[in-house]
Amino acid sequence: MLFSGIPFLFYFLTSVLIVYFIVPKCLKNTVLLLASLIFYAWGEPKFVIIMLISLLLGYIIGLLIEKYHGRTASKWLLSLSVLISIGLLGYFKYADFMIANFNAVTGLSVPLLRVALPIGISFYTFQLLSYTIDVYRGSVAAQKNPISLATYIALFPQLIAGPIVRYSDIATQLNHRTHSFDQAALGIRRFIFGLAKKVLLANALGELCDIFRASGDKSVLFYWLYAISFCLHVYFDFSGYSDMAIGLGKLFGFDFIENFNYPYISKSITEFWRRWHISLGSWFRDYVYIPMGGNRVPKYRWFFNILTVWMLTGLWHGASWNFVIWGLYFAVFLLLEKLFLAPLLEKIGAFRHVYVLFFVAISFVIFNAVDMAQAFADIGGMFGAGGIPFSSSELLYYLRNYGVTLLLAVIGSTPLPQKLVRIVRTKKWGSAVLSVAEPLVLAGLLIVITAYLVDGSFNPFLYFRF
Amino acid sequence: MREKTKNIIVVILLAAVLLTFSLWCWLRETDDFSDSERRVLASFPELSVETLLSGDFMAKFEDYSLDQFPLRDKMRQLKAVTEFNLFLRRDNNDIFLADGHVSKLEYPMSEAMLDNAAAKFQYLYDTYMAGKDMDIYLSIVPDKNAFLAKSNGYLSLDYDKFIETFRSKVDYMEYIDITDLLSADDYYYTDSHWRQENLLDIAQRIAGQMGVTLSAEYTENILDIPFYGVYCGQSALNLKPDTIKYLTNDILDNCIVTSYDTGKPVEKSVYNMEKAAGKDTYELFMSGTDALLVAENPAAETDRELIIFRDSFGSSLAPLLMEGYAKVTLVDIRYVHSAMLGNLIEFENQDVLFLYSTTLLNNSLAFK
Repeated sequence: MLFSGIPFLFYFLTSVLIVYFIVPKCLKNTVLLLASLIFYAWGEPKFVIIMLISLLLGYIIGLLIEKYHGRTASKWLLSLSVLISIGLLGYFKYADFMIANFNAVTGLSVPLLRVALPIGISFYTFQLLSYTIDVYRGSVAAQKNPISLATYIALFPQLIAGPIVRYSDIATQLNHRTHSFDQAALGIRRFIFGLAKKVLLANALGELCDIFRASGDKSVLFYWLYAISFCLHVYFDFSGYSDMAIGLGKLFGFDFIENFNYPYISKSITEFWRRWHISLGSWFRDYVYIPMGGNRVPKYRWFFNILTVWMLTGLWHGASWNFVIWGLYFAVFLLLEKLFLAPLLEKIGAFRHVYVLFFVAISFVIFNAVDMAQAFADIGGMFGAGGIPFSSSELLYYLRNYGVTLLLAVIGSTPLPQKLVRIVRTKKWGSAVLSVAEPLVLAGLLIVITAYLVDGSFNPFLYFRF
Repeated sequence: MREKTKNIIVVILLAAVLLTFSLWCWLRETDDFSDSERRVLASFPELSVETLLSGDFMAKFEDYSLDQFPLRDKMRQLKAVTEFNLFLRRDNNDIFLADGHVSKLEYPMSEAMLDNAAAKFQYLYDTYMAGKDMDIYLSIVPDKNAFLAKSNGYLSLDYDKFIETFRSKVDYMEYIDITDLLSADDYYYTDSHWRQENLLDIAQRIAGQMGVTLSAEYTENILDIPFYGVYCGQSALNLKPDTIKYLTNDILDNCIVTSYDTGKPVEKSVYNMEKAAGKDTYELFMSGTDALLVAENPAAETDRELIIFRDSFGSSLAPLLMEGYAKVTLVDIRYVHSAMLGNLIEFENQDVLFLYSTTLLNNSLAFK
């Protein structure tokens, strides 16, 4: 089920909210858990079993790790937990990738398994891992109530596309959370703005990318329009989803971690990754990079750590070489910046933004390619390879057609709108106008978005595949 | 207004919107058909253990929830208005407005579709016409974008190239060019089709090239049913309807039209008023999309016969060719399989006209 879908908004969400706020406090988690299982089963009925097995194992192993805390058994139990989680993820997500590469290297023809990827497995596996690792480290207590743990893992607002919420962040809220009009209003605002980002901007930009891909009239500028559109599409798609997840979390009394912080205003690639998919970056930092020694190791080992973490980050996004290259591509920039590029970037002022945007755009062209051959072809096209024309009538048409969307997306990817609202709010008249306008704008936006959903056909979520 | 008060209003207002639409979704009676979109709407899917486990129920529920959403047409209109006025889109779902017309982008040219259409025509020729005393003609009707798109800055086919490309694939046909006789005014504002009252010169051109002289006079009649063309519904905008005019004379009044759609002959008329009052008013002409229609002209001064392989553009043109023939057979190979035609038509020495629009040739998968 998609957040940006009529079944979710007008059938599922309304029902869940009504039941959730009617039942007594002691049943709220049960309601959320049942709702989350229905939400998950709506898209993949058979994969609920996989998730429940993962949950049950996580619950039992968590309790056992705590029981044997400080003893060798807890280390074995943690290893078992990691093995099961990574094993399931590896089977469903990476088995065919490994078989295909094995076949390519050996010349054999081992048949592919062709197993379907359970939705959200990358997200809930990482959440379960963080839980058992944190219990092992003693930084959180094992959850005794299976419903509370299941509610944490399966919580529908963040189940299938993040943010990757750590157990430690919401452990208290699982059993002690409050609900208020202020928090609900904040949640509604966040959810509707996220929905608008997804439906009004990301979907339109995604359409433009599809148009480019299908076009037989490609030109250099069209390749660039595609690269820019995809950068904006992936940002509004994913950050829109994160906004919706955070907003829904607030409605149910949870505070989820922020996942994006205007990444396209970054002045370096290092900063970009502090602002992009924050929950994933911090997960890899805390559960992979630092345990490997981080940067407190010899230089060669530090290089290895960074390359490993970023290769895994790439692989997390998908079982394909272009994702591996995409991760390593960022690793190279991060290393270069740490070694010598950072001081140089300081000297070039505003051009730092151009540097970031240029290399991020190239990275997303790699990211969105079906394979490396297409990635090279697309990057080549951006620089006129193949003798393609500089411009074309098709490019000009679509530039005009999507011009306002692109402009709004560019502005919306910066803190400018938020700053403007803050400035207006400081004025007495501005505050009064905003107070009256906000409820109306939110209601109007919800109705306009609904109109788009009723009429629209292009509504995929990019991060569902991860 | 205090922040707390504003937040309470936000929660209450948004909850009211959500709850109102939700209750409306749950409680409203479902519609079977959308007049504006001219299609059957999805109904509530079958609920069973099998459909739940297979995910079939969920997939169909998605369609159901969209099709049966309250105020669906108004919602589509709101989206169209937002697209055109807020996002300044040039088109909405490929529908655009130009020079008072509503039209749909037809772009780009699909060589594969032209190949498919040409292969189908080649099959018809090889199977039924080759080696017989039959003259084969081709005329291509440019869609109205030929006169609207490029001049208004929309993506447009290169119509000369399109026609040349297709002609080269069916070089056993004699081509009858009618493009110079057409302009945007010859098409309805809200529909893809051409206006019958403007087709006399086209009928004369086609008939003349087939060796038939047309000289009949017609009375122009105005249909008293507003014509909301196919693009009215697709655009979702509030548009003024077109007026349909149709031409009659004694020859057409006395023509005997028989449909073989169901396998058994059913008598019809050149202008079908029952169809005109139905879902698509343009079906006034020759009953619209019948697979096989035979129109006999008892007043004909000749025994010549004509077979027209056609799409819906042929429906309004065919009556104007009746004068020159004793019998005109209209075949729509979107609705009858080409391999079946030998059982239904005796191919002997008739004139054969392939009359197709660029839109159908460029989207020829429907040919059977």
